[in-house]
Amino acid sequence: MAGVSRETVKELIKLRSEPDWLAEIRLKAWETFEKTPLEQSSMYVRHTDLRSVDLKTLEALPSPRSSNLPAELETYIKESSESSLHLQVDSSLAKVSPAAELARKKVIFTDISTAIKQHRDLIEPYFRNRAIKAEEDKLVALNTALFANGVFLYVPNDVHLEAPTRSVKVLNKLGVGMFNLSIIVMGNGSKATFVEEGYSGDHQTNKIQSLQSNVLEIHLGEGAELNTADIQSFSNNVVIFTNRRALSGRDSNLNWVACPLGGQFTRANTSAILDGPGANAQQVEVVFGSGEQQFDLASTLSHIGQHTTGDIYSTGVFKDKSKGMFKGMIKIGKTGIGSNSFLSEHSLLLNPQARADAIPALEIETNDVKCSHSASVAQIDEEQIFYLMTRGLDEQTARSVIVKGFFESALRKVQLPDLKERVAGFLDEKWERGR
Amino acid sequence: MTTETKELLNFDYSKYDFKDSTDNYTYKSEKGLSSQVVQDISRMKNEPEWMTRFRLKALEHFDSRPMPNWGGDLSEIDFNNIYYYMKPTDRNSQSWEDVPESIRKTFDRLGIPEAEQKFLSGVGAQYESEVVYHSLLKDLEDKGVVFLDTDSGLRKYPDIFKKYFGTVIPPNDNKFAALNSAVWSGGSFVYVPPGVHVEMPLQAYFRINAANMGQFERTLIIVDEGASVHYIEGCTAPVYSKQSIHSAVVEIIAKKSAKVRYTTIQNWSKDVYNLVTKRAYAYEDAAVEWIDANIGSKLTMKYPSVYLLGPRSRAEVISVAYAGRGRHQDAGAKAVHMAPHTYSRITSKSVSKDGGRTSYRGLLHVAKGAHHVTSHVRCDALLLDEESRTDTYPYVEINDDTATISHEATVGKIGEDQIFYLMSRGLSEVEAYNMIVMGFIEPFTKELPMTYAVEMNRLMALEMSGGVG
Repeated sequence: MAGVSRETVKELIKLRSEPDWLAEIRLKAWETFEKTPLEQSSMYVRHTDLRSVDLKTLEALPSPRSSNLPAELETYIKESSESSLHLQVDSSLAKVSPAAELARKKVIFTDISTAIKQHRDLIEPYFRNRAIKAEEDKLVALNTALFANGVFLYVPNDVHLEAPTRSVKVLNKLGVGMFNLSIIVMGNGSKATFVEEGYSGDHQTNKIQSLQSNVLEIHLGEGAELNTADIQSFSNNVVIFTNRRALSGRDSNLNWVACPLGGQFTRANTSAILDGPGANAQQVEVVFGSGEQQFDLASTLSHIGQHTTGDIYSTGVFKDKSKGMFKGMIKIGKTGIGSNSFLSEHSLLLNPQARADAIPALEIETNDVKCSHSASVAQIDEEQIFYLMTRGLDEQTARSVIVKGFFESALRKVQLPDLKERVAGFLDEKWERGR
Repeated sequence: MTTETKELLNFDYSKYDFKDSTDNYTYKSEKGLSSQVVQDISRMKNEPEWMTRFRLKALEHFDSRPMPNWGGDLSEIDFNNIYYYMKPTDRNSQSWEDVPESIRKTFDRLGIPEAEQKFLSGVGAQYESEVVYHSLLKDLEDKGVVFLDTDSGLRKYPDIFKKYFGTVIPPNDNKFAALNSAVWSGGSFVYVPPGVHVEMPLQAYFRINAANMGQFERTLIIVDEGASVHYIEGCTAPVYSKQSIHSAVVEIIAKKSAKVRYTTIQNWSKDVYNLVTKRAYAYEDAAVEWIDANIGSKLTMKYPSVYLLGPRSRAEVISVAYAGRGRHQDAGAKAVHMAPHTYSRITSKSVSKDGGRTSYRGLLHVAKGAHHVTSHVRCDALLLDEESRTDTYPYVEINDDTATISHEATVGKIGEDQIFYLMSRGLSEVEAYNMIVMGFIEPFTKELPMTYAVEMNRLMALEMSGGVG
């Protein structure tokens, strides 16, 4: 059945034979989806445009059986015995393979449907009291009504995971709606890495739209530390809606990296609620747009606890007719005494048709804080090109060196060396492909 | 903060408030807004028919447009509880001596006029909705400079007036521009002929005086090719308990190579809603500067804009906001780059105290084809205590890859060590705070003519020590 409706939601509930409490949540979310306007913040109304998205032809229900993995993607997905993998092909689950250390350490790493069945007592509270409420965002409401896959990662107190956990999504078919909800619960003093990756089979030229709807909720206990990343290079007929939120406990540490490279339209909303005193969050966004790609990226740091610290670094390079929008927001509430926050949004435009908007906002309600932001939009300085050419580089190489240098300032903030290398590799590849 | 300082800050400064009797107005319109009121205003002023039609059309637009749902809280405005037109005296006064005693007294209390007589090249003082005092030095007249109240401008220069009026800010621009277009009265009309440089600033003082009294002045400034002028608008207003609204429209046209500077010190009383639309068109090689300070009012929403329409035109906006108890200054600036090699610089400084809220809201837009644009935006906010609030909402929209754009903002407080240092040099705590705040807004004060800088510092000192209302 194509398109999404209340019937789709009901069918999904039946298909998965889900418990009543969940069915109720889904149907209520569908109602919210229907009555909620797309953009609820008066600040961004003029800067929200989803006209290019069409839900009518989507196949939103998960297919019973996963299709085969395209051969060209094998290298990306290559499993290592140490890391844990959650692999999803189109809208169905292909495999979950937890690393050996997980069982030993009593870590739960499973897909969300299994978690609902097998760990109900653990997961239900996070459904009853969601980190992101369906009412906040129409797209979260849609996701809540229709999510079929996702990861549940539960790391008990004081457990350190050595190897990363991965969630890999592969879009192979056309016109697929993928709805994922992932929940990560980090116990006090725990430590882990969670990486989301997205790839497409080779159907760049096909116009049939697919939809990727992702919601990621992170609960960080006292002193917990999480490194998380989202890297995707979907083909240019994919629309991506992402909502990520972390609720940070006392002295917790969160590093997240978002690197959307593919897709036709990416709308991502990332927020860290720094509730606990001394909590820290660092958000790094690296975007590289080409063709007619559009990126609408909102990042929020909300300082509620005392002495919380946060940084947002958004870096974008836009070529051809691509368009980027950075909506950054730092909120420091009355209780956020002694907070320190920084927001930076820097873009490089490579073509006359490319465009970049930046809305770096601050809302500060107490005075004992340090808070600043900076934003810039610029082009490659011809003098720099000239200088590099006098040193023997040809013009193309000179440009490429400058663009890489521009990304480097953001990549330097990426904490894990492996991850940094991977992101740099993707950027390189896209740059090469684009020529 | 010491108890002594606190006492100083909590002192009742209302005895410095200004309030005059409203009995001697010769005409007051009915409270509330209707097409009848608009027609009456137009008839009272003997306006040509096109203006009456213009007003009525604007009223239609005002009625159909929803209230803005962003910016400050506008929910308490009751448009039916406002006088839209008042005429205090029968005729324009020709000299200072003719200005009614009660009005002169208020100006005196502000410490403004006599000392500045020599300095002024022309005074247009708006008292309520009508210009009551107007003088123009002879050499300006000789040069062909027109400096009139807007109503007289419409009567005496109908051709220029009709050609430019409402072209920069059409009535359907926003709800409050529509309101002003429907009921405007007073304001200044300035025309500077080609090549004429007006050496001395032109200035007008505005005051609101009656409770629930709307003030809707309309200013139109046309600076012809190669000419230059500096216009100063200052406001002070007395305290009243009921909400009052001030909704002005200021249109500036800077033709080829013209130079315009528009300076405002806004100090409405704390029950006034100050909702103002200010916009300038800058043509080839023209330069427009808005120097804008917002100190008073309950809520100000004001974003002086420059549309850079000609190549190499330049815009500079310096904006200062001070929000004391119960006040919200939602101010900022807009630079819209429509032509190549244009330049803009926006500097915003805001100070919040006693739970006041300042918001910077700005737009920087570079249109496709406007190549080699340079723009710098800087916003600094100072929070003087833990109850106060500051926001920054800058919109940066870049549609051309040759643009060079930078934006920076900082938020901070006054360091205890700074205060300690100044106090160790013999200043009191209040003086130390004052000095730091003065230093913080110095990029603004240094652009003011001397007398204004002194007045501004006096005003800030008074505000800092508890507020003049």
